[in-house]
Amino acid sequence: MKITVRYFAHLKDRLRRDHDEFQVGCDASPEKILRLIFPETGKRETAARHLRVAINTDYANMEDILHDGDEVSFIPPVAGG
Amino acid sequence: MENNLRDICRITTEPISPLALQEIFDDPSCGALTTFTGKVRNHHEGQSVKTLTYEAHTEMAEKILHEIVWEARRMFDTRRLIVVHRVGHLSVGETAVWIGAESPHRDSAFGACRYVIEEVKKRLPIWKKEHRADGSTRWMEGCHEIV
Repeated sequence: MKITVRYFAHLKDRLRRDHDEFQVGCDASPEKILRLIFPETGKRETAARHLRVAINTDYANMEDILHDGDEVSFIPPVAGG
Repeated sequence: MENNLRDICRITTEPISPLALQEIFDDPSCGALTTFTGKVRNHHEGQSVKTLTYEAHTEMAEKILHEIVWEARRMFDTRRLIVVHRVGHLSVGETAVWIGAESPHRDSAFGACRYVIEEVKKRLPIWKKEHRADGSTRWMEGCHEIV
């Protein structure tokens, strides 16, 4: 199934792009997507520090199961206002 | 969850005019209007700031704005709430966020306005990058720098 991933702020700068598309299995989760983006454990742990995740437009959990067409957003600590 | 149709919850790329937004409030049953203007200031944690770049997950931010306004309405006796957050490149002195809360009495107006800005800062998927006088840039994490 197809999953779109969006990046923001420092994560976007670090990856030098604001989105990706992945073809994944039916047991995909944001945590598994993060492993595809950062295969190395050390880099993944550094990147994922304090990251939240949203699925479509709702805050979600890293272990939530994704569905075809979902959009995953990795949310660095926010700084609005 | 439905908000009053008179409420405005918006993420914009356009400059915010606090005076123009304030003039929208016209309920004769309300004796109190509390507003908050969040502006770009020229310093942060000892560093001189020239400009800020705000970035948002716009669809999610507007959805969460509606949720925050819905919550504020249930906690405080407000008749109209307006929340506008700007994104893009802002200079010192420009308005980044504006909130207006209109109520029959001041307690609710103050309470709703304060609640909204605190929740905006905690929940809205918006980020800001400082452009400092020394030429460096930093993404801010709440009040802490991301390295």
